[in-house]
Amino acid sequence: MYSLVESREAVNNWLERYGVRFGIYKNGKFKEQLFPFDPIPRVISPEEWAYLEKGLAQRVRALNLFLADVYGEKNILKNNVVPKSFVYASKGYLPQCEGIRPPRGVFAHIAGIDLVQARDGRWFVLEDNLRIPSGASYPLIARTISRKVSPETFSANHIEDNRDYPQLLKHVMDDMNVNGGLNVVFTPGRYNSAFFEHSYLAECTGSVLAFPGDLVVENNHVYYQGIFHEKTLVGAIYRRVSDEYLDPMAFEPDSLLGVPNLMQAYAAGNVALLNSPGNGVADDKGLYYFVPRMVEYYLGEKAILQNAPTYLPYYEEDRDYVLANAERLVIKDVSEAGGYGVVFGRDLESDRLEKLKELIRSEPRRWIAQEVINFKDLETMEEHGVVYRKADLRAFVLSSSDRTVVWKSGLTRFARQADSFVVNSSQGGGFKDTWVLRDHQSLPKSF
Amino acid sequence: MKQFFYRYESSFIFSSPVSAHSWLLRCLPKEEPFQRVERAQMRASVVRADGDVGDVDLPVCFGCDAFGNAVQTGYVSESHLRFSVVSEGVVRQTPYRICDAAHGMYLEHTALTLPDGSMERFAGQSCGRKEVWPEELFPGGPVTEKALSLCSAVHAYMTYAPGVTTVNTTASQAFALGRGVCQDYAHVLIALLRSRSIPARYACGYLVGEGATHAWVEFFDQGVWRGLDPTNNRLLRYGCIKVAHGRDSSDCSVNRGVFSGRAAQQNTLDIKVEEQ
Repeated sequence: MYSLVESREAVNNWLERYGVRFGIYKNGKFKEQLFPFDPIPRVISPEEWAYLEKGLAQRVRALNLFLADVYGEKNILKNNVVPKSFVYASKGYLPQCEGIRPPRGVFAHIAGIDLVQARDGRWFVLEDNLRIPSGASYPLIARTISRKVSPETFSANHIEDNRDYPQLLKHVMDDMNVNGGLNVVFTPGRYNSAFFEHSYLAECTGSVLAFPGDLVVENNHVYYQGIFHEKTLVGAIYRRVSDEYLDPMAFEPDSLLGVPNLMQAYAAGNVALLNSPGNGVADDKGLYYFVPRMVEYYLGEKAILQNAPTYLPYYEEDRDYVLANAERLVIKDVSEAGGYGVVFGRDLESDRLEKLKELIRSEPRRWIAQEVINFKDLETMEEHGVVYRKADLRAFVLSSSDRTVVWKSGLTRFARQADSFVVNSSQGGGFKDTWVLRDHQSLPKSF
Repeated sequence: MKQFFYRYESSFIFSSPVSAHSWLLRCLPKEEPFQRVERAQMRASVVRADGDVGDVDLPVCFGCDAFGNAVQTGYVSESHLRFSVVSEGVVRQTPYRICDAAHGMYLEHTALTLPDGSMERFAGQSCGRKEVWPEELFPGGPVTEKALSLCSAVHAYMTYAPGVTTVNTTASQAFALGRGVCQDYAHVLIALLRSRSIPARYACGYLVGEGATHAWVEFFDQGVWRGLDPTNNRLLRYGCIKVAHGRDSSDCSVNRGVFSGRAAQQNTLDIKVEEQ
């Protein structure tokens, strides 16, 4: 891997040529920036992976069952395992999805589960992303390029090939496809932060990349209309447009991105949507607290993966603890995503901390608080040599009607600044490839 | 049991041709325990821009939304100058009551029904007031009493004034104005009811007589949803042809459309309900 590390610039140049960028909005202006790639991979041993794989598949199975329950029978609410008000007050809960059973009963087809590893080696789940998690395309294309730039690295080390992601995704789309019509990746357009990913995954899965205006609902079926306005039936839509803009008839009436009457076609079973609308109720930062309980409730098993120690100010006991210990906790606004609305108590001046406590008292449902996990730093190449940076891992779990598969790789994001814990790409972080080793002899002693 | 005939007729007239027009309607009566639809039919039609054929009927898809309301959808790609809907039928009604459960969503505020501090205070002051309601109509407990006193308070506080609010006016904006139409009365009452932990939802449909669509409120007490009309300060019994319910008006729009074209639109609406 020496050669791979030396090829850092070459890989980044290739990424730039391929247009691997991340768009961000800063002060109301759209700016595209490169997503910096670090050549030193995160390396996961076969045993560690076996544990993660089992835990992740278990967690996503439970989350899918939870979604089917919440929009269906509601047994978990009737049995008071999860408080009703948490579900119904959640921004991610969409009444417009009540009673809709998606094709083949799968809700979260593509799940992105964010994990961190503590210094003592224990893994914790930080967040579930069940709406439109992005990121799989980055390690996918980085691996492809790395193999080109430094083939000897990959012949010397026994690494699980991660270039099967498009096949896994295509399998899910084909499995969900209700009528043999087109598979479509539906993008909000080139000003979306993850547009590169949309176009790349469409290309790799042999799907049609559809822009707003390309899809139309007629006779309660969805059609793709090409430039000559010939209509082709659509069977599955991997949509990267968020719920609120998906259908102006059911959600935001002013949305120009959406497909009018898509929800009616979907409710009638005439098209599959990946992921299902309404999934936000299960990846809500507040509902996260209950995921280990969901695993026990639905699967009758102990949760393999742990949550970071979390407190819900909604419960009086937890609220007292949070108010007393706010300065050493990380406090999150449940309605925000992408690293926004995350505050470390220790970073706040005392008057701002008091203000935050006041908000926690007045709107307890809006917040969760977590112990700060001292996560393991990963080696990262900088101009002047190796430095250590905080990093997380987004694992991708794909669910079809017959199986739940964890992709043998993942997106490792790292913080650019030395002491930062915030790794989100929207906050300027970079990324690494994630290697899952096939066997032990191949532990990469020499890179 | 009473029987009512209704007719709903609405047109959109566009100043210049529009095309790629998707529409979603809620114009057929909703099946309810108190309301049986004897017969009902609807048709949607357009007048094409190349217009020598007159009204052209459109294919209609009949479906249902997540709140259980009947919805009718369709799409017309050709350019047209006018879009019309007619719905008519006969329904039979028993006194307005729906035995059902209360879904948890009807306790949560929405953007349109979020009360502000002054509304919370208003709800607190109004709840204790005793009102004179004919007692045989509602053998309800304290929840029904609260709901009725809130309804009277809203009716007394608000002034009916068309044109000062829009479809996007929130409950707190309407409350601050002290004026509005039936939609605003309903949003204000829903906000107050939910703030007192009484499940409440928005309902709309056609009222006996001639006029526009009407909106009212349903509240839940002891296993029963009842209709409460804050605009007219009355508990509903007969003569409201119910079309839809939801968390607020945005769940119940009678007519939504998306089309392409730069056109000003003019809307005509004609509703008639009579007892047979």
